Amino acid sequence: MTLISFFEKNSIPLTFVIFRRCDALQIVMKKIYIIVALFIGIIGNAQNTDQTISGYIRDNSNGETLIGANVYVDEIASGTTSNEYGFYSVNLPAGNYTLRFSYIGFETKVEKLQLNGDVKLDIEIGIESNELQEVVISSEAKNASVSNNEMSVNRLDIRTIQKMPTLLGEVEVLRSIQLLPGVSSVGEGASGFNVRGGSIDQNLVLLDEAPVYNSSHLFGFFSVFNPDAVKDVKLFKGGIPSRYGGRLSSILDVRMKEGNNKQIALNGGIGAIFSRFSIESPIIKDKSSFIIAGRRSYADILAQPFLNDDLAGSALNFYDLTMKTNWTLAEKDRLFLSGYLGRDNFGFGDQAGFNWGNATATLRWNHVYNDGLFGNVTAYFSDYDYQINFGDEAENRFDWDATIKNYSVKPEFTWFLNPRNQVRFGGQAIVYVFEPGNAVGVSEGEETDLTLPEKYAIESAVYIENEQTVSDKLSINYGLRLSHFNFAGKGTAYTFDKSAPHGFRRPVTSATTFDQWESIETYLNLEPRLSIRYQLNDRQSIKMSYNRMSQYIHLISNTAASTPVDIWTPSTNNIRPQIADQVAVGYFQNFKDNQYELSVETYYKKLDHLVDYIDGADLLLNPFLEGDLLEGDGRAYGLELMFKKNEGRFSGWVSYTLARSERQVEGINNGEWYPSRFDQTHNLSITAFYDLNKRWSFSSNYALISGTPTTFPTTRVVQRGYVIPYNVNESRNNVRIPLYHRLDISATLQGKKNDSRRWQGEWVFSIYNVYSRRNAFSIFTRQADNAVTEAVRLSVIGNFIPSISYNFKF
Amino acid sequence: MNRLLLFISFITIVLISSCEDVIDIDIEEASGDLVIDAWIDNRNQAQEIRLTLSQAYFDNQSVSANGAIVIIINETQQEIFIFDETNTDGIYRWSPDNRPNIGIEGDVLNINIDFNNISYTAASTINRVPVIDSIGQEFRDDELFSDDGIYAQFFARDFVGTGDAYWIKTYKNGDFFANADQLNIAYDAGFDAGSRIDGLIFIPPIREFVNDLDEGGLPFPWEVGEEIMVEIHSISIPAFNFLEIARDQILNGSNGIFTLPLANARSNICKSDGGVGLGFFNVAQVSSLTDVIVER
Repeated sequence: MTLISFFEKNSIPLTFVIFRRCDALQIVMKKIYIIVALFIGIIGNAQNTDQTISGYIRDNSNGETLIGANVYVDEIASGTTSNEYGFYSVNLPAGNYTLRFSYIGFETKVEKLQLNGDVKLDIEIGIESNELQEVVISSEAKNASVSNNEMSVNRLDIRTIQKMPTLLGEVEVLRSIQLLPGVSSVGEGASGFNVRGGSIDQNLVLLDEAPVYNSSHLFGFFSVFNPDAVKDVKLFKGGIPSRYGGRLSSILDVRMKEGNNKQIALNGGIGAIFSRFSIESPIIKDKSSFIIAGRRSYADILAQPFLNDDLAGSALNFYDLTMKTNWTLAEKDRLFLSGYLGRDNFGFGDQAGFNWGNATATLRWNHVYNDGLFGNVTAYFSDYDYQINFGDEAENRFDWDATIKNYSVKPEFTWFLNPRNQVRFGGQAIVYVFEPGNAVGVSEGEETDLTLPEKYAIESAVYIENEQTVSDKLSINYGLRLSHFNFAGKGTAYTFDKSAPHGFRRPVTSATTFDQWESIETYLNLEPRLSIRYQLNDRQSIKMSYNRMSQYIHLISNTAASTPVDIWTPSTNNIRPQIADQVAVGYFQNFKDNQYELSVETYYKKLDHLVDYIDGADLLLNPFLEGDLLEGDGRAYGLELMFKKNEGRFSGWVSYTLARSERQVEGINNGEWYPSRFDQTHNLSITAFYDLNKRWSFSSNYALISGTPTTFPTTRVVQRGYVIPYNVNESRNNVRIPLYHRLDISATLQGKKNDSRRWQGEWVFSIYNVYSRRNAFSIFTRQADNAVTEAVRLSVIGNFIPSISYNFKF
Repeated sequence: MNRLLLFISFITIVLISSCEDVIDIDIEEASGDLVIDAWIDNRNQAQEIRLTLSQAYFDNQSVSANGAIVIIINETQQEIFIFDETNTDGIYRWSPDNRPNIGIEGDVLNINIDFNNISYTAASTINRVPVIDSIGQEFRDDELFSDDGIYAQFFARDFVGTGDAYWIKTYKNGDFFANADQLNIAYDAGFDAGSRIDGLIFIPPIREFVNDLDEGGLPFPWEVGEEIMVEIHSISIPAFNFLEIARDQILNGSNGIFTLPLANARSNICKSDGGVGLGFFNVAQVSSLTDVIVER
């Protein structure tokens, strides 16, 4: 059977059933299949007569597949790693082989076999019994940092994340990654994160492959990821492989647990903010399982008895529900369905309400073809929306909501061609529907509809990459991604007067209407990707990477921290796609039998067509938004150091970043380069774990970060008694707020071990900001009541914050 | 936009133990430029223009600019109005003479100021202003953001056709609500150009923004017997933009973690040396209504 007929028989019906309503998608999908088929044709000519050993690597305690587990073949002194679905494949000539399956924190399993035909070998490995309580901060092959082709990539095992000290005892994926080099945030409470000088919308945050548009609960204090449902977190800051695209600065790939397929397991916790509960269980043992994990904050439930009449019915909560199920249909087919639903809810009596949330659903189908070809087709839906309403009477009210929805299908293939070449290819099509604002204002019964028209766009891409082991020392991952964006009707496209001076609102010069799916503007970008590893010996390597990224959707946000009402907008005839080129060079060394890891990386990133704003821009409910936008360029460069101790009773890492992130925009700062709002010269963090004994373990982290820049006025201009701040130089980000530093500690007490009892509990005691440092989020100027001007430091966390939480497993 | 940020940051303040401390900082400062405060109207009463010199941001004083020549020319009527310096407080005044006012709706006026061998010019058109139909008073029960008592609102209808801008000023017993968080401006009947609320009765937040605010920025009720006066001043779109940025910047600190970048309120004044002027020139037409608060 040819591969093309595979597509026709299997993936097209599957995906098209889901997306039948989108005619435009079909056209794009056809294009993708033609190109993918071409790739396959080219590669498919490379015949080989080798036999294949392939299968899944799993944790024997719960049946979870292991991502990035190592497979080593003694006889050829080489091997491979398992992919995102725990699948591995090795092509070898007939003969006798010894295979070692390893994963840090797990016992190595050795299999000897005689190969004279294709072999399917599923492996289950177990946690090393004597290391049960020890922290393991890397879950890859022992010398992966040196031997792996990847650079500028950080993986955090959920077990590591769970050990870190946290704010209010809540285990936090997004706060944890901020302890890695190159990752920062504008401050406490700010949503999102900044990677290597990029803005928060330049990160593609994926939860089981579906993008999450707002990854925060309660603005930026907590993330939407329920730690009980997360299996693996991987952050790509550079050297981004061609299978990922759509954002400039990083990919955060969060994979959910599949659910225990051996026995029912319950997990839960009671913390200061959330209570969590999850259940996972086999549906058919070893064939299918599910996990459902939920969290809800309960400040409002506790407060309810104290709320008076006006406040009765007030809402103040956030919750999320994460679900996944998987089915092994046949030996070669697996199906995964996962979803996320979360919402933040604020209501003040019946006078004002505000809520926002994400929803995602992902359907994936894995199929193992012969010859070590692994295929996966993902179809997902993702939605972010918010709703605001003011006024409790029908005659006078204001109701407003906005949404970004997208539907995507993504066929991907991994071809384990031979132990020296692993080829990945595939494509993706995304249909976007933007509802930038549906708003109705009613004044004394008269209604004004302020709704902005929907916007539509289709983003599509095809890619191919090969991870090639050229020699024992040299390996190269090279790839190409071809991305295309079609900003389409129906709708009205405006043109603006480009001769208006920079920094001022540009008036509309013409308007053209377009029919549904009629192209308004298209963009095509070729994105080369390359990473090279040269291994000096088994302890040292040098790596280099280059990637070009393009980004077609943009978050419209002009405040220090992004707000939940910030809207996403597509590239249009007026907004060009953002483009980034990044080069990085790194040195990697392991010491003392891989107990210690050192990495040094330096990068330079050039960013084009960044979105900025005129002074006084109207960003919301403005049909002529594009007239208030400016286009600029950016550059970011830096040095990142990381020193890590992976194993033992005392473990942890030190991360240091020296960096610069700058912008240049005509109309801001007199057109000169200026530091971005999240520019941090120095960023040091130290994370340490210590296991005292089987019951007590401790952890701490310390952060020392240069102040971010802000703009101060030079002058006061008095008008009608108002003292207006004014900057005569028209400069931007001309001063720095003070140094940030903070220490957090935490202690965990495990319940007494009793093998006859399945219930296991632990108490976590933590203190955030131990020495009550009032770190400045910002320094602003204000006019006090007597018209006296003063400078004020805003500290989001003004004190130390202690917390206790209890977690249990059954 | 700003109001929404305030609303959002209010939530964060409620939930998180944030704190604010007044601190000393060193900043680059600039001072000594002429600031023109020329917000006048076409009523039959004395009109005042105030000239000061700009001060370093943290210099909490005001320095008058004396010895300037200030004239306004009504281009439409071809008339000249001379504003005389009567004192050393920087106030330049014109009082009605044989002419009752400096112009009527639709007139184009130019200001011309000579100071220290530099001339400063700007133009303004007298725009239309809607009448205030009534001031409503109602007793409201204790609500989440306000105590029980008598609250007022004014009713006026914006003209059909976009691009009208207004500054709504409220006085309690003759005292102007002068705090920046009481600065009430409207673009048509709504908040800003983007909201496209045209030809309606001014929408509730604007028409209810005539109640006094407490320290926390929340409205508090009127006392029986107090006098409320509401004025609508017509302003130009650049004047609206100036006041909007000025207000957003003065109040920016209240936005907490959602502060906007510093932006300059843009003057409409041109300098003969090519520099950017400071301050603003606007000639308004005014409608007004006064009421006395009665028992409800």
